Amino acid sequence: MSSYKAKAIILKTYKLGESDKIVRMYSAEGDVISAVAKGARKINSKFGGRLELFNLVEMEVTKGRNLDIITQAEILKSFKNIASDFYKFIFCEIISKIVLKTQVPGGDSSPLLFKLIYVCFNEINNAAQEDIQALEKIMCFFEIKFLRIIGLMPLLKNCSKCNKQLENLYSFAGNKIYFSVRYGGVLCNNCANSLPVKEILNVSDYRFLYDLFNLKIEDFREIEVNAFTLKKIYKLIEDYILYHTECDISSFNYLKKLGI
Amino acid sequence: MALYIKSIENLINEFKKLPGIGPKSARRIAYFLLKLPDDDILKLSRSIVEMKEKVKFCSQCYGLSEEDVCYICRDESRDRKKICIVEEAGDVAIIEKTGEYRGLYHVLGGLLSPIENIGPSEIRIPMLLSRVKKNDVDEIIIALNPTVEGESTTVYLKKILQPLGIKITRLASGLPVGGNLEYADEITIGRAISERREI
Ligand SMILES: [Zn+2]
Ligand SMILES: [Zn+2]
Repeated sequence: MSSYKAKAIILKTYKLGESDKIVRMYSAEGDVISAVAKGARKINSKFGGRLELFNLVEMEVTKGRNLDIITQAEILKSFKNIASDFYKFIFCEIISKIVLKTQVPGGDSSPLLFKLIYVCFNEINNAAQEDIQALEKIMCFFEIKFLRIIGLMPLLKNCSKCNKQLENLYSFAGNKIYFSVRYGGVLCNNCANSLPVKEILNVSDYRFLYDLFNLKIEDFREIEVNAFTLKKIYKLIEDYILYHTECDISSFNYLKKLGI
Repeated sequence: MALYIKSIENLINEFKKLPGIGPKSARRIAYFLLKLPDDDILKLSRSIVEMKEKVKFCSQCYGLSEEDVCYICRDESRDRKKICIVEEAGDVAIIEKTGEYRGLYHVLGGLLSPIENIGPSEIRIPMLLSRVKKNDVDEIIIALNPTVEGESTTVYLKKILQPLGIKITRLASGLPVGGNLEYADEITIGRAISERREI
């Protein structure tokens, strides 16, 4: 039987039968792989903790009739601080959910998504303990870059309804910038007036959104964002993802459920 | 073409759904049953139905029981100030078999999972809280699986139970007995080192 090697990040695991485990992961080549690890749930399994959630692993996989079978796995990187901080766990789960529940087009852009998942898990892992704001900031980063990779990024320079080019909003002097989740971006004043449902952003909200698109993680890490803007943009992006990809992240509702 | 008898094939298909039973074993069991006396067959089928009818969840710990309250929760000789939290009802039997524990249990019936939208109310955490608040409990032992999901649920439980001023412990984790160090992964060894103890 043919076999292959893969480097992948584990996004979800399921119990299978008495002691097996199905592992769903995203590979460095940009594929979602589902494979079975036989006996992986036995306490003395040769896999031990290697096939745990969020690990980056290198595996030997044999092609099976239905599901492929993992015959060997080594850990390349394990994010040790995720399981010990419930908030970190939640945000990593949301990243997994977005990747697994959204149709990600294959091709050249997919290895970028692998890199993005890795970078964000790493940022989350290194964030301070229980710092929800830091985690929300990383989530915004993930979600916007994700939208860009799958080609659904919101328009920030042209009106998303009539495509009119807008004045430089980054140095905008007024205090109202209109944004439509449905049309997928900012609006000119005319279009904004004709739409009953729209979001109103201030310059600091807009700049944060703009930076999310344009900054690399090293530079993004350094920017300061006020709590108000962060909450607002975070919610805006969640709504945007729900509307355009139908992936219901609803992390707000989940956090509320926890009562902590 | 292979011999095909509908009722036999039906039974084989049912057996194939059982854990650990593949098509070959399913066929073997079916042919074995065919040879059994009618009485034995009746006993077997009746006990399956009876089990399903009689077994329910204990109203206190949510372990399996034929009564409203299970024999563990009714046992006055047990240490009622200790509650051991497990994921599945089957885990109770596993800990009972060790004979090392004389306290009570609480079966969650799952683990927290944001990705599946499973929150505290879906896994009997509110029941645990009200149980702990109503009774005089001095220690809670969290015995969830040493996986990322088990670990995260443990961290959450600790967070909501700690304000109640109860001692919270968890099962020690480390190297499996009988294993070889060289085959253990770095997470397991790392945990064993960070949770080492004096001898
Ligand atoms: Zn317009
Ligand atoms: Zn009970």
